[in-house]
Amino acid sequence: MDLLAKGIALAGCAIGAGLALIAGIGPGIGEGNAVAKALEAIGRQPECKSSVTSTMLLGCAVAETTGIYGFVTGLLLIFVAPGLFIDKIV
Amino acid sequence: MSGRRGIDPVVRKETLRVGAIAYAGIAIMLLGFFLLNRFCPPEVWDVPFDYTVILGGVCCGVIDILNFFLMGLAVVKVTSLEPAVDEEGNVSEEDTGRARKIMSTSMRLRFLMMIVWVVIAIAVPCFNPVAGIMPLLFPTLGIKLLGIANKA
Repeated sequence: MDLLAKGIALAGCAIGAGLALIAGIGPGIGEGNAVAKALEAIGRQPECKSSVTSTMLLGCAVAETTGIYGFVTGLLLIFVAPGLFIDKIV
Repeated sequence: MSGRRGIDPVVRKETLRVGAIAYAGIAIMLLGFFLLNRFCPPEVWDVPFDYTVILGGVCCGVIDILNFFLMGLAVVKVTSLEPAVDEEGNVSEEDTGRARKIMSTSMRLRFLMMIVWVVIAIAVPCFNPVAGIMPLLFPTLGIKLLGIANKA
């Protein structure tokens, strides 16, 4: 029974980590779209380059937030959670 | 375009700002650790406050700044592509494809750097894992809060 409970806990952690890391896909696509549009804006109005760069820097940093949340959650589920659950089950 | 030591002035300015935000957050986090260590009974919650907490926070701040700086370099690289624009003001697919490729490569490498750091923060005993991971979220939180404060 303990073995089954451990197995379920470990499987849950692994599946959860995998699902959490899917969050990394969105920021990648979003940043790609943002830079493509920024490039278009600079192509049309080269004089706005500095303000576009500044806005895009902060925009990209914010866009990455969800990716970082997912990634930290995933790594915690891989490295930290199994130890906590197994200690409780044993 | 390039300033001192070849770094774009916009990147330098924003990196300094993000660094200040990150270290302000780390200072608040260390204060929280200190207060919990002092006033929270160990049998309820044993919160450490030793060199591992400070080292974890400081090193994570460096990773935050490095992450933002590398992202800034990628953004500057993209904005210096000087794309060819057609009569309707559209940029060629080739140029946008190059821009997307530069950003996605940069993001992959930066995430790899963060993965390595998080593994080190968890595995190496001289870093407190919580203090070594939590500051990764501070720059974006700070930028969002500043954005809200500027709008209000």
